[in-house]
Amino acid sequence: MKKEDTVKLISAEGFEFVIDKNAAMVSQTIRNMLTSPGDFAETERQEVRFPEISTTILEKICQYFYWSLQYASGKETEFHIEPELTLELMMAANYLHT
Amino acid sequence: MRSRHHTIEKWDTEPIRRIPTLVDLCVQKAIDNVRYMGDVGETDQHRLERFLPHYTVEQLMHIEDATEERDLSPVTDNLWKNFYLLQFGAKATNVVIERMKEKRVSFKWRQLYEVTFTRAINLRGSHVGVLTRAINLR
Repeated sequence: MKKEDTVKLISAEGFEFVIDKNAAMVSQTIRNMLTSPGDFAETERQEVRFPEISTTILEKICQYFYWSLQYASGKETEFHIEPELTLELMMAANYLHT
Repeated sequence: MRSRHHTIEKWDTEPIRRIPTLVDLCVQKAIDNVRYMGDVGETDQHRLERFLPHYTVEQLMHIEDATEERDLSPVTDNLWKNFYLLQFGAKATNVVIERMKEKRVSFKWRQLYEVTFTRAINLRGSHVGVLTRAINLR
């Protein structure tokens, strides 16, 4: 995986998730952040900080990105969500337009 | 030109598959797992409007009681009105609406539901009491 094909998503606690750019682009919000014209730090460094999103939630979101790509390619599996994460995940998903 | 035509045909005949969004999946999870739901205080109104209508009287009561720091009635008042309607009928509901209009007062439908429900239980209890006493007298 080439560095330019990846992006780094950083959680509130500072954990870094390096994922494929096309997976991250599942989120409209991240897509806008990474592709917007201008000198945005996110666009230049290809990394996005989420001070409001915990590591557990961000990890789940990354899993969803890959699940979404698989689903789009025809592999329709179930996406598991731990019940206790539901509300926090819903809020983050809403923010990320995912 | 032919391939373009073929593409259009394909579009016409094959249904477009929609990938569930993460919000959709979470909403479904919230509906399926009400027992894990408690304080929903930070969830925005639009999301609440999507999953709260799926809950029963007891479940909605549980959610509202667990959410102490936020008044959920802007979302739940209509749901309670529906519960009232289902439990006590359209006639009783209209009477309540008319009375509130007449007296120019307004109550939350959850309060109205609870008061009417308790009254109905007590009434039923007293009927049972009268019946038991009548049987005992025989």
